[in-house]
Amino acid sequence: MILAEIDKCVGCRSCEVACAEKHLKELKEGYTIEEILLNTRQMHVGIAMGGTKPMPIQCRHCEDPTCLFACITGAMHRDPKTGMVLVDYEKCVGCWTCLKMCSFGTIMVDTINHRILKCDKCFMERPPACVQACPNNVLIVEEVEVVDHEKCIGCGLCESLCLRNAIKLQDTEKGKRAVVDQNLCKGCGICASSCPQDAIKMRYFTDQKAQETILKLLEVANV
Amino acid sequence: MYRPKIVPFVCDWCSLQSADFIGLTRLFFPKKVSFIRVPCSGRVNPEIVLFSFKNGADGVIVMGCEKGSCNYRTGNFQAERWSDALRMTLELSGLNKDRFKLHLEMDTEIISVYEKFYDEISNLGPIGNELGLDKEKDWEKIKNKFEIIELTLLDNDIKWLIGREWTLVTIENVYGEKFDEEKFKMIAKERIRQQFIASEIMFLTREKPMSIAELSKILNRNPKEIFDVLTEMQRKERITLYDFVDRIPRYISVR
Repeated sequence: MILAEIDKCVGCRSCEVACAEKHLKELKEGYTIEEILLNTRQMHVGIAMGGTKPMPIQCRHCEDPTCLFACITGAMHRDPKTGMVLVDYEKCVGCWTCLKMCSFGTIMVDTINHRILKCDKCFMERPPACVQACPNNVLIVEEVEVVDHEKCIGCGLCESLCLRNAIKLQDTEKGKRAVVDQNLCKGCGICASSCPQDAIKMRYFTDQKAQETILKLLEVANV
Repeated sequence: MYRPKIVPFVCDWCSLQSADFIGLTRLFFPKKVSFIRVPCSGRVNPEIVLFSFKNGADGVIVMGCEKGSCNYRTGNFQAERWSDALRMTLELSGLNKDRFKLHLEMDTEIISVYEKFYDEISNLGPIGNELGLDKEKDWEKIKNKFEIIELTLLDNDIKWLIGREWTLVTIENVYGEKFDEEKFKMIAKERIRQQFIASEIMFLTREKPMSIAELSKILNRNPKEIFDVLTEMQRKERITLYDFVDRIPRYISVR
């Protein structure tokens, strides 16, 4: 899961440049460098919090993507292997319906080739270009949920509950064990809370943190 | 005046957004209220809820999205299953089951929901009131009750049964069969009741061995019922024979 700590972001836009550099295939003549950069980046740094705070904005690869339902040619599709929402450039005609439908403003426009641009997570490469380029460690790749293979017995309860296919049983050295695909996991913690063996641990919203907040809240309620 | 201690959990998607909306539109937000944010109502498990009860909460409320509109799809179904089990065990141990509430609705009136729950708990009084126990004097007795509930719900079998229910009832099992929901609920209810008696026995025989007659006297249950549970526990190696006193066997639990 790619996370962004927007408190640290200073709006240097190095992630944009790195993204454009990664996806730039050929330089076209008759355009300035700035124009090429604007038309090849797949994510951008937007202004949030009422125009006071810069923050990186990327595609979230939604569960029910509005851009996918809006596409008139069927160019926008969900990759069956990885579960990412991708664009088929042979089919895209540049009607820009998806641009209007996206509620996060993550889809970019390529006016040179007249088509849309959209995050492909650098084809599952880890870490992606934007994360590598960030000087302040705003963008980070984090393992949100971790499976302890010593405790896991491979019952498959987590697999049946995760409808995102992020956690799956796989053959490992210790037999069939649950393995988390970090690119697809959204960190809801349903598998962690319902694991009978307590094998799945979360990095965020941990049990310890919840217990600390409960104790604090009960102290305040006492006064 | 008596002020109940309430621990409210809010889901990140519907409930927290509505709390945020109150601030944005500058409506009245009481100073005393503070929510605990969780990513999904399915993240809150019996362990966390029982922790807050053990540390002196009088009531716990979990607020989440409407059924079927969970952002992670299975989250609030899962929350519903275990909240049913928790309410059942609260009732079995003699406490009022309304001390725990799961509110699954998509509404922007989060404060009114909270205040309604606050009034309900105020009417019920401090925890243990329904059993005639004083919260400060008999705190050990109340805490023991929650420990028995914890032994029941955090058991591997029960956790698996609760977790699997949604898949078995709505999709299918490995043989392509679909379970009847009411039938499954009946089986699960009976299993949880049995496990509750088993954890009561386990809690009592932790330190000193006891005979069946003693157990039935303390727990106020039929000796035959206890014997049935004991044989099942022996099969799972949760309890063993300790010694004989006047030809009567005494049992002790295995750690």
